[in-house]
Amino acid sequence: MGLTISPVTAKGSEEAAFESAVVAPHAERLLRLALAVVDDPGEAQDAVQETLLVAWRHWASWARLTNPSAWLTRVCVHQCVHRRRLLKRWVFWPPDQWAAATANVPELDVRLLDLHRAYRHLSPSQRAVLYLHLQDGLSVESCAGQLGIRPGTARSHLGRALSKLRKELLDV
Amino acid sequence: MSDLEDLDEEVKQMARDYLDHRTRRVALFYLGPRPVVRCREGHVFATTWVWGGSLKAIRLGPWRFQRCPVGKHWTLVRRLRLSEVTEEEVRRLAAQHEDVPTP
Repeated sequence: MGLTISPVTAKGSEEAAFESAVVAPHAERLLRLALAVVDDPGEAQDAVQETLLVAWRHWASWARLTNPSAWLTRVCVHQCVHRRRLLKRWVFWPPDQWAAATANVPELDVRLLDLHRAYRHLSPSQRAVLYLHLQDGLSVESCAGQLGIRPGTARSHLGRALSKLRKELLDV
Repeated sequence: MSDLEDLDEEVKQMARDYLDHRTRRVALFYLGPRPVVRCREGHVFATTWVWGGSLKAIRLGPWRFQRCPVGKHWTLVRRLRLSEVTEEEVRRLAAQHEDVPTP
Protein backbone atom coordinates (compact mmCIF):
# COMPACT_ATOMS: atom_id res chain seq x y z
CA MET A 1 0.00 0.00 0.00
CA GLY A 2 1.45 3.36 -0.99
CA LEU A 3 0.08 5.16 2.01
CA THR A 4 1.62 3.70 5.10
CA ILE A 5 1.25 4.77 8.68
CA SER A 6 3.99 3.65 10.99
CA PRO A 7 3.66 5.26 14.41
CA VAL A 8 7.16 5.22 15.81
CA THR A 9 5.95 4.28 19.27
CA ALA A 10 3.58 1.57 18.14
CA LYS A 11 4.56 -1.87 19.32
CA GLY A 12 3.38 -5.33 18.38
CA SER A 13 -0.26 -5.99 19.09
CA GLU A 14 -1.13 -2.33 19.64
CA GLU A 15 0.16 -1.51 16.19
CA ALA A 16 -1.76 -4.41 14.69
CA ALA A 17 -4.94 -3.38 16.50
CA PHE A 18 -4.56 0.21 15.27
CA GLU A 19 -3.94 -1.04 11.75
CA SER A 20 -7.06 -3.19 11.73
CA ALA A 21 -9.33 -0.71 13.56
CA VAL A 22 -8.27 2.53 11.91
CA VAL A 23 -5.91 2.27 8.95
CA ALA A 24 -7.37 -0.68 7.05
CA PRO A 25 -11.05 0.34 7.20
CA HIS A 26 -10.61 4.11 6.90
CA ALA A 27 -7.39 5.07 5.07
CA GLU A 28 -8.72 4.79 1.54
CA ARG A 29 -12.02 6.48 2.41
CA LEU A 30 -10.15 9.35 4.05
CA LEU A 31 -7.76 9.71 1.12
CA ARG A 32 -10.66 9.95 -1.31
CA LEU A 33 -12.29 12.58 0.89
CA ALA A 34 -9.03 14.52 1.14
CA LEU A 35 -8.54 14.31 -2.63
CA ALA A 36 -11.98 15.87 -3.01
CA VAL A 37 -11.17 18.70 -0.60
CA VAL A 38 -7.60 19.70 -1.55
CA ASP A 39 -6.22 20.13 -5.06
CA ASP A 40 -2.81 18.61 -4.53
CA PRO A 41 -2.70 14.78 -4.21
CA GLY A 42 0.46 15.08 -2.11
CA GLU A 43 -1.31 17.45 0.28
CA ALA A 44 -4.24 15.04 0.46
CA GLN A 45 -1.90 12.22 1.37
CA ASP A 46 -0.24 14.34 4.05
CA ALA A 47 -3.65 15.30 5.46
CA VAL A 48 -4.57 11.64 5.80
CA GLN A 49 -1.21 10.86 7.35
CA GLU A 50 -1.76 13.63 9.91
CA THR A 51 -5.29 12.39 10.55
CA LEU A 52 -4.00 8.90 11.27
CA LEU A 53 -1.34 10.30 13.57
CA VAL A 54 -4.00 12.25 15.48
CA ALA A 55 -5.99 9.01 15.74
CA TRP A 56 -2.90 7.24 17.05
CA ARG A 57 -2.44 9.90 19.73
CA HIS A 58 -6.08 9.31 20.75
CA TRP A 59 -5.73 5.54 20.52
CA ALA A 60 -6.05 5.09 24.28
CA SER A 61 -9.54 6.61 24.23
CA TRP A 62 -10.52 5.20 20.82
CA ALA A 63 -13.01 2.70 22.29
CA ARG A 64 -14.94 5.54 23.95
CA LEU A 65 -15.69 7.30 20.66
CA THR A 66 -19.36 6.95 19.81
CA ASN A 67 -18.79 7.37 16.07
CA PRO A 68 -15.12 6.85 15.13
CA SER A 69 -15.86 7.18 11.41
CA ALA A 70 -17.39 10.64 11.84
CA TRP A 71 -14.58 11.65 14.17
CA LEU A 72 -11.97 10.69 11.56
CA THR A 73 -13.91 12.50 8.85
CA ARG A 74 -13.96 15.69 10.93
CA VAL A 75 -10.25 15.47 11.71
CA CYS A 76 -9.41 14.79 8.07
CA VAL A 77 -11.42 17.75 6.78
CA HIS A 78 -9.85 19.93 9.47
CA GLN A 79 -6.39 18.80 8.35
CA CYS A 80 -7.29 19.54 4.73
CA VAL A 81 -8.46 23.04 5.62
CA HIS A 82 -5.32 23.60 7.67
CA ARG A 83 -3.02 22.45 4.88
CA ARG A 84 -4.93 24.48 2.30
CA ARG A 85 -4.46 27.60 4.43
CA LEU A 86 -0.75 26.89 4.82
CA LEU A 87 -0.38 26.39 1.09
CA LYS A 88 -2.16 29.67 0.36
CA ARG A 89 0.02 31.46 2.86
CA TRP A 90 3.30 30.25 1.40
CA VAL A 91 2.48 29.82 -2.27
CA PHE A 92 0.88 32.79 -3.96
CA TRP A 93 -0.51 30.76 -6.82
CA PRO A 94 -0.79 27.16 -5.67
CA PRO A 95 -0.39 24.94 -8.70
CA ASP A 96 -3.40 22.97 -9.79
CA GLN A 97 -1.76 19.63 -9.13
CA TRP A 98 -4.86 17.61 -9.75
CA ALA A 99 -5.39 19.11 -13.20
CA ALA A 100 -1.71 18.61 -13.95
CA ALA A 101 -1.85 15.02 -12.76
CA THR A 102 -4.84 14.20 -14.91
CA ALA A 103 -3.77 16.24 -17.94
CA ASN A 104 -4.06 14.34 -21.22
CA VAL A 105 -6.14 11.62 -19.62
CA PRO A 106 -8.32 10.64 -22.58
CA GLU A 107 -11.45 9.70 -20.66
CA LEU A 108 -11.69 13.06 -18.92
CA ASP A 109 -14.58 14.69 -20.72
CA VAL A 110 -14.28 18.35 -21.72
CA ARG A 111 -17.36 19.15 -19.67
CA LEU A 112 -15.75 17.62 -16.62
CA LEU A 113 -12.88 20.05 -17.11
CA ASP A 114 -15.46 22.87 -17.11
CA LEU A 115 -16.83 21.42 -13.92
CA HIS A 116 -13.31 21.26 -12.52
CA ARG A 117 -12.88 25.01 -13.10
CA ALA A 118 -16.02 25.69 -11.08
CA TYR A 119 -15.06 23.15 -8.45
CA ARG A 120 -11.85 25.04 -7.73
CA HIS A 121 -13.96 27.94 -6.44
CA LEU A 122 -15.78 25.80 -3.87
CA SER A 123 -14.77 26.13 -0.22
CA PRO A 124 -13.40 23.07 1.60
CA SER A 125 -16.66 22.71 3.53
CA GLN A 126 -18.70 22.86 0.33
CA ARG A 127 -16.44 20.26 -1.25
CA ALA A 128 -16.68 17.97 1.76
CA VAL A 129 -20.49 18.09 1.87
CA LEU A 130 -20.73 17.65 -1.90
CA TYR A 131 -18.44 14.63 -1.78
CA LEU A 132 -20.14 12.95 1.17
CA HIS A 133 -23.58 13.54 -0.35
CA LEU A 134 -22.88 12.57 -3.95
CA GLN A 135 -20.11 9.99 -3.65
CA ASP A 136 -20.79 8.38 -0.28
CA GLY A 137 -24.54 8.72 -0.77
CA LEU A 138 -25.14 10.25 2.64
CA SER A 139 -28.21 12.32 3.39
CA VAL A 140 -27.71 15.99 4.22
CA GLU A 141 -28.37 15.18 7.88
CA SER A 142 -25.76 12.42 7.85
CA CYS A 143 -23.25 14.73 6.13
CA ALA A 144 -23.85 17.24 8.91
CA GLY A 145 -23.32 14.51 11.51
CA GLN A 146 -20.07 13.40 9.87
CA LEU A 147 -18.72 16.94 9.71
CA GLY A 148 -20.02 18.10 13.09
CA ILE A 149 -22.11 20.94 11.65
CA ARG A 150 -25.81 21.73 11.74
CA PRO A 151 -28.04 20.19 9.04
CA GLY A 152 -29.06 23.66 7.89
CA THR A 153 -25.43 24.59 7.37
CA ALA A 154 -24.75 21.38 5.44
CA ARG A 155 -27.82 22.04 3.28
CA SER A 156 -26.57 25.54 2.61
CA HIS A 157 -23.09 24.29 1.65
CA LEU A 158 -24.57 21.71 -0.69
CA GLY A 159 -26.99 24.17 -2.29
CA ARG A 160 -24.27 26.75 -2.90
CA ALA A 161 -21.84 24.17 -4.26
CA LEU A 162 -24.37 22.81 -6.75
CA SER A 163 -25.44 26.31 -7.69
CA LYS A 164 -21.85 27.28 -8.53
CA LEU A 165 -21.33 24.14 -10.59
CA ARG A 166 -24.60 24.63 -12.46
CA LYS A 167 -23.78 28.25 -13.18
CA GLU A 168 -20.40 27.32 -14.66
CA LEU A 169 -21.95 24.65 -16.85
CA LEU A 170 -24.73 26.93 -18.06
CA ASP A 171 -22.26 29.71 -18.84
CA VAL A 172 -20.18 27.50 -21.12
CA MET B 1 -35.59 20.70 0.98
CA SER B 2 -37.60 21.95 -2.01
CA ASP B 3 -34.59 23.75 -3.45
CA LEU B 4 -32.50 20.60 -3.20
CA GLU B 5 -35.20 18.50 -4.79
CA ASP B 6 -35.39 20.91 -7.71
CA LEU B 7 -31.69 20.76 -8.44
CA ASP B 8 -30.77 19.66 -11.87
CA GLU B 9 -30.06 15.92 -11.86
CA GLU B 10 -27.67 16.33 -14.74
CA VAL B 11 -25.43 18.62 -12.70
CA LYS B 12 -25.49 16.12 -9.85
CA GLN B 13 -24.59 13.26 -12.18
CA MET B 14 -21.75 15.24 -13.71
CA ALA B 15 -20.50 16.18 -10.25
CA ARG B 16 -20.62 12.46 -9.34
CA ASP B 17 -18.59 11.58 -12.45
CA TYR B 18 -16.12 14.34 -11.72
CA LEU B 19 -15.66 13.39 -8.07
CA ASP B 20 -15.36 9.73 -9.00
CA HIS B 21 -12.63 10.53 -11.48
CA ARG B 22 -10.94 12.95 -9.14
CA THR B 23 -10.84 10.61 -6.16
CA ARG B 24 -11.06 6.98 -7.32
CA ARG B 25 -8.34 6.99 -9.94
CA VAL B 26 -5.94 9.09 -7.93
CA ALA B 27 -6.59 7.05 -4.79
CA LEU B 28 -5.83 3.86 -6.70
CA PHE B 29 -2.61 5.45 -7.92
CA TYR B 30 -1.52 6.23 -4.38
CA LEU B 31 -2.98 3.33 -2.45
CA GLY B 32 -2.33 0.42 -4.58
CA PRO B 33 -2.15 -2.35 -5.39
CA ARG B 34 1.35 -0.85 -5.04
CA PRO B 35 2.88 2.29 -6.54
CA VAL B 36 4.33 1.71 -9.98
CA VAL B 37 7.68 3.31 -10.80
CA ARG B 38 9.91 3.55 -13.85
CA CYS B 39 13.69 3.45 -13.72
CA ARG B 40 15.91 5.51 -16.02
CA GLU B 41 16.40 2.52 -18.30
CA GLY B 42 12.65 2.30 -18.73
CA HIS B 43 11.97 -0.75 -16.57
CA VAL B 44 8.62 -0.58 -14.83
CA PHE B 45 7.91 -2.30 -11.54
CA ALA B 46 5.86 -2.01 -8.35
CA THR B 47 7.63 -0.91 -5.23
CA THR B 48 6.92 0.34 -1.74
CA TRP B 49 6.89 4.11 -1.71
CA VAL B 50 6.60 5.70 1.71
CA TRP B 51 6.63 9.48 1.67
CA GLY B 52 8.05 9.86 5.12
CA GLY B 53 11.07 7.61 4.85
CA SER B 54 12.78 4.73 3.15
CA LEU B 55 15.36 2.16 4.10
CA LYS B 56 16.52 0.74 0.81
CA ALA B 57 16.34 3.88 -1.29
CA ILE B 58 17.95 7.29 -1.26
CA ARG B 59 15.29 9.95 -1.77
CA LEU B 60 16.11 12.76 -4.22
CA GLY B 61 12.93 14.80 -4.49
CA PRO B 62 10.61 13.01 -6.90
CA TRP B 63 13.40 10.56 -7.72
CA ARG B 64 14.79 7.73 -5.65
CA PHE B 65 18.00 5.85 -6.07
CA GLN B 66 17.29 2.19 -5.53
CA ARG B 67 17.77 -1.25 -7.04
CA CYS B 68 15.70 -2.13 -10.07
CA PRO B 69 14.49 -5.74 -9.75
CA VAL B 70 13.83 -5.97 -13.50
CA GLY B 71 17.24 -4.94 -14.84
CA LYS B 72 19.07 -5.99 -11.65
CA HIS B 73 20.92 -2.68 -11.40
CA TRP B 74 21.01 0.40 -9.18
CA THR B 75 19.31 3.38 -10.75
CA LEU B 76 17.11 6.43 -10.29
CA VAL B 77 13.40 5.65 -10.28
CA ARG B 78 10.34 7.86 -10.23
CA ARG B 79 6.64 7.20 -9.88
CA LEU B 80 4.67 6.99 -13.09
CA ARG B 81 2.48 9.99 -13.74
CA LEU B 82 -1.25 9.44 -14.04
CA SER B 83 -1.14 10.68 -17.62
CA GLU B 84 1.37 7.93 -18.46
CA VAL B 85 -0.61 4.98 -17.28
CA THR B 86 -4.18 3.68 -17.20
CA GLU B 87 -5.91 2.05 -14.24
CA GLU B 88 -5.59 -1.39 -15.86
CA GLU B 89 -1.90 -0.83 -16.52
CA VAL B 90 -1.30 0.08 -12.89
CA ARG B 91 -2.81 -3.25 -11.82
CA ARG B 92 -1.07 -5.26 -14.55
CA LEU B 93 2.36 -3.72 -14.04
CA ALA B 94 2.13 -3.99 -10.29
CA ALA B 95 1.34 -7.69 -10.59
CA GLN B 96 4.15 -8.35 -13.10
CA HIS B 97 7.22 -7.09 -11.31
CA GLU B 98 7.25 -6.81 -7.56
CA ASP B 99 10.02 -5.29 -5.52
CA VAL B 100 10.76 -6.51 -1.99
CA PRO B 101 8.21 -4.98 0.40
CA THR B 102 10.72 -2.85 2.33
CA PRO B 103 10.29 0.91 1.93
